Amino acid sequence: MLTDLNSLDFPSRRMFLEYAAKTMLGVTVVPGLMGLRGAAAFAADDSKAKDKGAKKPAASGSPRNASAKHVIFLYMNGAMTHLDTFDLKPGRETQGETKGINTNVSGMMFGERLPELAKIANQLAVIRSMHTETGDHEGGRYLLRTSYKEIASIRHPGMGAWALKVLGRQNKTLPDNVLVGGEARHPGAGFLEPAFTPVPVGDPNAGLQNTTTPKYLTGESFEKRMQLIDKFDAGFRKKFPQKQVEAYGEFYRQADQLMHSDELKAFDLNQEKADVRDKYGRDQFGQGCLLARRLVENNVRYVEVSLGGWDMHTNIYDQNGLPTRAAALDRAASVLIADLAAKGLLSKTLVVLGTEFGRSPKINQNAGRDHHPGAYSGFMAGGGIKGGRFYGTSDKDGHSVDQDGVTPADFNATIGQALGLPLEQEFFSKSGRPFKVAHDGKALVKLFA
Amino acid sequence: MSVRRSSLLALVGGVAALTVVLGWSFSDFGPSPVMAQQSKNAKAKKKKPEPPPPVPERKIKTTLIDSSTRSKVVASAAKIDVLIDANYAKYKVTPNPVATDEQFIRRIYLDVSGTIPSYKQVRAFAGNSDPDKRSKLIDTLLGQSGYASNFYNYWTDILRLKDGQLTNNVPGRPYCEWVKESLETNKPYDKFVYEMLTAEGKIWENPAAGYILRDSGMPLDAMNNTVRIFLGTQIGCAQCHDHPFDRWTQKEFYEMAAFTFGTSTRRGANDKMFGGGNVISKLRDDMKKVDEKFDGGGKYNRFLQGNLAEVYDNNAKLALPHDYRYDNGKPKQVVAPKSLFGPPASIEKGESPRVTFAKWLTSPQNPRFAKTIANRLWKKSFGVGLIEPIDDIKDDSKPENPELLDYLTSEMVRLKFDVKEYLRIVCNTKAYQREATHAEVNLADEYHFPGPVLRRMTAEQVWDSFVTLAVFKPDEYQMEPARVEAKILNLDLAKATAEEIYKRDQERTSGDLRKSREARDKDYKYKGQLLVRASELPSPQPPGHFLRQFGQSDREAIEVSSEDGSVPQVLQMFNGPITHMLLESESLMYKNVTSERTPEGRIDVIFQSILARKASPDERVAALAEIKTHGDIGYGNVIWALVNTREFLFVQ
Repeated sequence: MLTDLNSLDFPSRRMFLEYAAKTMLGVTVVPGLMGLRGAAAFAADDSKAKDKGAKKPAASGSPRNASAKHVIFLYMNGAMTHLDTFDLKPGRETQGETKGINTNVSGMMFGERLPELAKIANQLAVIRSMHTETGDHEGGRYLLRTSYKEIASIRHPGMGAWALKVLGRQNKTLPDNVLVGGEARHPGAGFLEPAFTPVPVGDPNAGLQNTTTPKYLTGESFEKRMQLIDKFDAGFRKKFPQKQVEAYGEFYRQADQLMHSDELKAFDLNQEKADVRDKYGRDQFGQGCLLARRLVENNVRYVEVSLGGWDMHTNIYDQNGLPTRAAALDRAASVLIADLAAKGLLSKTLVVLGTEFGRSPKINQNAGRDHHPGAYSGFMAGGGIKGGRFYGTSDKDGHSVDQDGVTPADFNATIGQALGLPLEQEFFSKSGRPFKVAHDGKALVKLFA
Repeated sequence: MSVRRSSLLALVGGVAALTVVLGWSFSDFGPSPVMAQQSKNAKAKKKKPEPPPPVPERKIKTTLIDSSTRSKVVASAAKIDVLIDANYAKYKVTPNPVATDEQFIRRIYLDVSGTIPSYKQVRAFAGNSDPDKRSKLIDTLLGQSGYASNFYNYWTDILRLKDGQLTNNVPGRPYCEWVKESLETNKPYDKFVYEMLTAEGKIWENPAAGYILRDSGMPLDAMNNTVRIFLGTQIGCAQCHDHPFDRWTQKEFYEMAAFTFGTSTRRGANDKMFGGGNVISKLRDDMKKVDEKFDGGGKYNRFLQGNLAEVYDNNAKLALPHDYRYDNGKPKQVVAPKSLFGPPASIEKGESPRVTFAKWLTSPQNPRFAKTIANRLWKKSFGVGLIEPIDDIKDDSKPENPELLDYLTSEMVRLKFDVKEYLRIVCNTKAYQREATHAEVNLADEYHFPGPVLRRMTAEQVWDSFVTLAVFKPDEYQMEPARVEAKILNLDLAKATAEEIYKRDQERTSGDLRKSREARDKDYKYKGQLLVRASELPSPQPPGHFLRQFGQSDREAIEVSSEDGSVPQVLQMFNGPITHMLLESESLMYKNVTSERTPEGRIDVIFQSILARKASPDERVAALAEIKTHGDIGYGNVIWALVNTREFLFVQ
């Protein structure tokens, strides 16, 4: 529905506003929508419209920027505050207690809680013009991970599943799509084959558990047991030819393969020296990032690592609020990027930081920030991305997008572009409905070097 | 203690002999905990024996089913079937065949008690020739503790119950226990909701206050959650702007939120009730004199901050946001409470708006309250609601069968929100007692209820089923009653002294409490896992736990548990300790199998324990061949293979 619009290419603020209004309303492009309620939210201030002039629509869907072989998606769960991290508004009341610090790129400023990331800002393309449709956590997460709004009648695939579907398995024995420390509900493979479902690792310190058979079982007796399962299960499977039943067949196969893989130690963080583990931070996120690095070293395609606790409605500046989360993020993400660079992996590994929405510019009565889908931030690094710059801007208080708005679909299209996924191609669900990898999002091709 | 020491480890005396008999009890796990315990006891005998630490328990009363209303239940179930049959005819649907007794007993146990039936229960049901045995089993199960346990797991996912911190320095345990007790006593659903919405006080004094404390500091989100959970309606979008997909305006959202905005969840430290001045600063200063190591930081916050957390009405007024942009109001204009739909809620003189709101929400006249719970519980039984999604009802939502949903709603009202009686009716329908639908059910198509849909067990059902297979008295263990910690944590800040707080903190960390907890757990532990009902384990479990691997919610959002499969689940089933405990000689499974002498008899025990049915001829041949080839180890292989089948994981 957005094929005739391009988020990179709004000749005027008005056009962006129209675009935003239409996408917010989830309707197809019809002239004259500006009159509808809801659209008004974004049409309030047109007087300061900046005419940036028409630019050529960016080509998208061609895999010309495809240099990434791996993706590490750092998921900031709970909605990361943009004003205190990457979208500083010095001098404004909405800035709160956070002060800006300089980075290693002149003119680029981060929040003071991110001193290590500030030292490698030259690697980061920071997007400050994200905006989304919903201020509801689950809805926002789903949209960011799939580019589609969550509905009851179908489940859409996450980006990791799309990558495996289109590109095939990169690592033939280890799981090629891994979810570290994520919540129970993840879109996973959606309507695609269950084989592409991310393998969840709840606690990175424990790695992948239960991968060895009891000592008294020989390889042969294990094989025997597997055959028995097959025999006992035959009647049930025949009776219930359903996807949810068949899915387990694929999980059995993958589990069996995994148990006999020599590469399993990729999941074992004890293989790392203590000082390396310390460097990443001994928290779950830090160890999760280290695990992600090990998996990428072992040629795993897609890893998502989450850092929870960003839902800071109360006392955002208290020690267990922003300072703790930002420190965990700053430490682990900076070490991860540096490590990947040192190992020569950064050029082919796209590191992405994303979150479901931002937090309100206004600090509430409980000294916290509430949900804010109007504007928020994220970043990309490595994988062919040119760092050391900001992309897009929010308005003076970080309330709405001012320039170069980026939707979750655009964000995912950019990941797809880096991986070389065909963004224009239609894929059909079992019920015959067509879907695209990033739901017609437009890749931010300007981000690529 | 001697009574409690039973569960998994009942057959201690026979361990050595039996191990030799079957062989498959050997494993790489080393000595069982009980054997380790015995040798420790032997050494300890030289010292004077210490009296066992006290293990306080909670008295549980489960409300029974009133058998005198059976004829009414049967009549109501028949009426439901008439309405369903009408849609079969209308949409040309052939209903599924009636479920076999074997399918029925497994399903009814899982749906009502949250676990598969035990071997003994399967045998008893199979041997019962009473024509009313299904109906009677429904009554029995609804009157047992398993009902509360199973529905507690269900509500834990919806209400985001946490035993740990509910909000800053406030433990959730008392609230969790209150929910459990409400289910045990079958508190009418409207009363259950009303008590949560109107609760006042601290968590230890009025645990229902946990509902409001859960969303402490988020008054607008709290309203959004309340309307979603209890009225099946999503107004969240209207928090920031007029709802794009429904009719709610931002003003209406604010008018609803105005009912509860005047409710505070935290007392100020300067509140007059504490005697003037900042009571927290004062006590912190005093604490430094009592505890030399105290640096004035957060160490005593569970006492200081925790006791400030209290639900009370401060009558604050809600104003529209500063950037309000619609014509029907001005920025920062104070809004008066106004209900969304149905008979308007009018605030009576001297009544708190929150009470008015609770009365309006839980009223039988509210057009969505009874309907939402009727639809919810229908989905819980059949796997699909009459309106989907169950928590996003709109004015134009068309139920699959409007007459049926109307009838179910009116039944809920007639029953005065007696949830057990309602479930009793649903379970007695022919539709519920049919086979699960064999073919793939397409989420995009309307489902006409030819029978329930096939569902994978929830995480808690998988776990509880394993416990049923392994443990002798799976319902025996109780988690520590909330009163134990409440006695330590609850204090009156107006009177509290630093000495008292110090003393209580010592008590909290003392060896006595730890010993009591160890004594509670020790007989139920196997390889570090506490083998008890999921509802008696703290919620949520840590990320690596079996329950989380199988999809237990992290309790951060409403109803986010998952029934999807994954590779770690399969690895857990293949190699994890929970599967292998079934092969240990101390397990119930082992005892039941060894109580039969012939291989045929033993195979029946294994199949009936795990799948509630006997082996088919083909399966029997395969199992016998396995046993013939591998001897006693073959039994272990058959058990292992059966719990690893999909048939085990799914509810037919």
